[in-house]
Amino acid sequence: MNTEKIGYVEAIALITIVMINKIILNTPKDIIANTGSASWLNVIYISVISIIVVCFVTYLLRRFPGNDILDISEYLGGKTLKAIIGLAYIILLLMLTTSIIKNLSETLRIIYFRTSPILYITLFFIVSSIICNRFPLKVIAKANLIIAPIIFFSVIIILASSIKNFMPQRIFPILGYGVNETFFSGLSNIFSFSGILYLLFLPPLLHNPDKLKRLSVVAVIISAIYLFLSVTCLLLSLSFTMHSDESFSLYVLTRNLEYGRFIQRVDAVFILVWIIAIISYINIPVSLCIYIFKKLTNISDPNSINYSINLLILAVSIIPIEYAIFTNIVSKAVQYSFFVLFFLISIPILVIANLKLNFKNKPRKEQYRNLDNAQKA
Amino acid sequence: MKKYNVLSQFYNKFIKYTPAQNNDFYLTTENKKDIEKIPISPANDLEPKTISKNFTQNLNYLKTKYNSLINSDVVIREFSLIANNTEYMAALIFIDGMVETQVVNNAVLKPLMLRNKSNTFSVTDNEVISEFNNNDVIIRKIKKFNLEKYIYNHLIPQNSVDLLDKFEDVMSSINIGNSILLVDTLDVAFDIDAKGFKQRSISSPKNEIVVRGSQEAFVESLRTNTSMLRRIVNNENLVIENTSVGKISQTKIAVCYLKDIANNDLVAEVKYRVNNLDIDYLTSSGQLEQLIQDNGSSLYPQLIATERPDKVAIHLLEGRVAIIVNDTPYVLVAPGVLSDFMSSPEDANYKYQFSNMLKFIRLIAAFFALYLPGIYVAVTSYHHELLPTELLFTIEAARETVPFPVIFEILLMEISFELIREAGVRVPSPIGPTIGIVGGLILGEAAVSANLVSPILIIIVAITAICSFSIPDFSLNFTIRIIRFIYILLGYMAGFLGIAVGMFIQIVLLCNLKSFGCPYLTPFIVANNKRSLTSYFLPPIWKRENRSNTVSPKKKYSQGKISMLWKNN
Repeated sequence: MNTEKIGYVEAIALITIVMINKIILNTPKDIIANTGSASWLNVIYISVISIIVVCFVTYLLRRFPGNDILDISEYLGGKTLKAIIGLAYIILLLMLTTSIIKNLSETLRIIYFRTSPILYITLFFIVSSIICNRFPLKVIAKANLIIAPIIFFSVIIILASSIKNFMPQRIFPILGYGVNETFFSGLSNIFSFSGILYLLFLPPLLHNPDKLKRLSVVAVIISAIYLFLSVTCLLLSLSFTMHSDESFSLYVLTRNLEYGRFIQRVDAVFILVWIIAIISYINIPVSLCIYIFKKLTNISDPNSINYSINLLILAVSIIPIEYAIFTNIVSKAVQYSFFVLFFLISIPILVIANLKLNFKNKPRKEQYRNLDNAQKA
Repeated sequence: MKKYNVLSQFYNKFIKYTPAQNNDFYLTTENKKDIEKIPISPANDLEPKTISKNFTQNLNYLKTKYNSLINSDVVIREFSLIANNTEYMAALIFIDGMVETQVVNNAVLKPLMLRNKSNTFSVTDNEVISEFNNNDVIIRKIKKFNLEKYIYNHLIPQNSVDLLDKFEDVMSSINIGNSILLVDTLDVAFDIDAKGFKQRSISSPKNEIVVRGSQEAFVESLRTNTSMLRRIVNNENLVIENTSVGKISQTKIAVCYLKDIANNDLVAEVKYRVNNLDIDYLTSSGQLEQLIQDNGSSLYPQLIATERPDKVAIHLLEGRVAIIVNDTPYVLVAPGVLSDFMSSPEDANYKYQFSNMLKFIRLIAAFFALYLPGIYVAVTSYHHELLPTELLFTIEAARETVPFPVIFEILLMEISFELIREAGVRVPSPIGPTIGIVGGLILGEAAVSANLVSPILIIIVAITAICSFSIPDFSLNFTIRIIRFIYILLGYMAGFLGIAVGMFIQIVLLCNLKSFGCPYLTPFIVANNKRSLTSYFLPPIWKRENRSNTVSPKKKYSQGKISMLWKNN
């Protein structure tokens, strides 16, 4: 793999695109389903918590400049812990990618390719992933940088165009299903910011690791603004009790857009942009999987891993089970795995590693202090 | 005899003759492989490398090398040279048609052959330069007669004369049109520049036409091209380094750069690539471009090829490196990034508003040239809802009588168009436009009338063609034409899904591409390249303080913070 590093703006685009794609997919709809008319409040709440978490994580990572969670795990528990953490993350990322591809393929089949087999649609994503992951993450980050503004622009157009459909009274009742659903069980919506997971692997890839905190906070803030706007627009445009089969949250909004008499249905154009965005998004976890695998095994040519990982994703994506069952199982599994792996395993590892570092440096600090005292005396 | 022995050893060593049953000899496969492995004929080891004092031997060697008995254009004029009032055997060797006959006769042969004041004045064998007496012992400083210097200083009234001692250099000089003088008793040859072959005069550019700008184009002669650059750049820091490529052709190449602006690493990289080519011959800059580009498998051009000296001069002043190949009117500039191929040489000559409008139109043109047929196929096959109802009815009504699927229609028309374009280029120029009319108008009209294609498709293909003509660079135009077919197929296979996959892969490939270490998408993905001539959209001329950071030039600024001093004084 190429050792070229990722720049500041590229890194922001990389993290943001992960989160923005969740907005394009079904995240806003899920948030509205969980918290009702209080979804806008919930978004603000989880955004603040995400920023705090990001600050905390980057603070913990600051003590290990240029090291990612795998290096820190190795420092704490040797190669065994490193391998366990690495494998756990590979499984999580693979599940995440599979669920996205399955979700997207099924949605596209419903919208455009009713007669085509799911394998045919999925193959397009897999082929693009195989081709693009032959290149280093730096290249994918650069591609993201080009695509990110287009996605932002498309989302802004949709949001601006749907203002005419707004009904302000839809935000009532303010607390939606209640305080408990909004602030306690609604905390699970923090999964919308699952892009923060990638922060744990960024330090060695960054051109300037010192800016990790700043870029992370900026990326989360950008994503939070977009999530807030998306959720609010969706909430104000459509009743939260309205049932929708569409998997793309924003697609529901685009179907109602009209620009004069000539342009009456532009949803296909937005679908085009979003497919590019989601392909870009798919490449990031796959690339990260290859990166982790390479780091665990020290293989020289990661191309074989690229093929294996993509074929594995293809195999899981085309398992002939009901889409709804698949979504329920895998999406929930991904969500819970993210919570466990990020909050219950990775953050404690970082905390303990910091404590270990403190403990190790303590005698040295005392030595220096004694030396200072002796010099002063 | 000695030669024969060595040759015998060579044959014994490398070629094993195996007797067959009928007592004939044949080469075994193993031996054939051995022959292929031979890098250079071992006979070369016997050949003299340097010129000896034996005139006959030198002359015979050159006669053999040039096959003088059968070569009609190699002239070996043997004569008696008069120097220091003494006659010496001499020979002038040149290629007929590559030298200026008048110059050779009047400025080379005449002073050497005819008796005149220069060659008849006698220099004593031991010329006393100084003399002094030391305790009745006379000490004289004596300069011996030197024929080589005598001829050089007195007998060849030419501005460019070099002394060569290697046969390799001698033959190289003869091949490029110089005349070589061999003189008995001298172990050097005089390389006299008397070139005078017929060449095309400087004319206006044929493929890069501009309205406001220079109307001069490069020609085939390397020296004429370098002189044109020197005239425009007009600075002593312009370095023009010569080298040669090709073991047989020894094609002259000039690497040009401004030493106080161009990045040293870039210059070194260009020279490294040019000097490390193991090829027999090089006949054009197009071949060199393919040999020194970063990614050979990429469709995108990675070096700028231009026939315009003003364009090369601008790039040199921006810190890039130009490569001129002898006998090619196209000069290469390294590195070349995507925005360079989307820019016209006259962009800098227009007001920035005009240029930016043209650049914006070119972007739209590139988009349509690349995607329009693919999008048409995708929309008509999968995304009908995107079209307004009335337009959809019109398209469907037009297609109703066409028996073929849309993919067949569009491929038929696109391939026909490519054929017309190719035929238009190949046919003699007077009937070129006729091909366009016959192909474009009559064939298109006939195809619609025969219900082979729908009228809307003709419009799509025509718009695509017009847009592709707006791309300023010919190589990028080719790239777009090829990729367009891929998008047509992707659009047919999966509509916008296919096109989106193609777009993303294309973006990734572009992001991965580099030209001499410079990202190919600069300045599209490098934000800090504003206020320079090479940013895609041009700032006003008074705000172009920065040089392009694409090549990290030594001088960062190309003009003062306030360039129009007259306004502020």
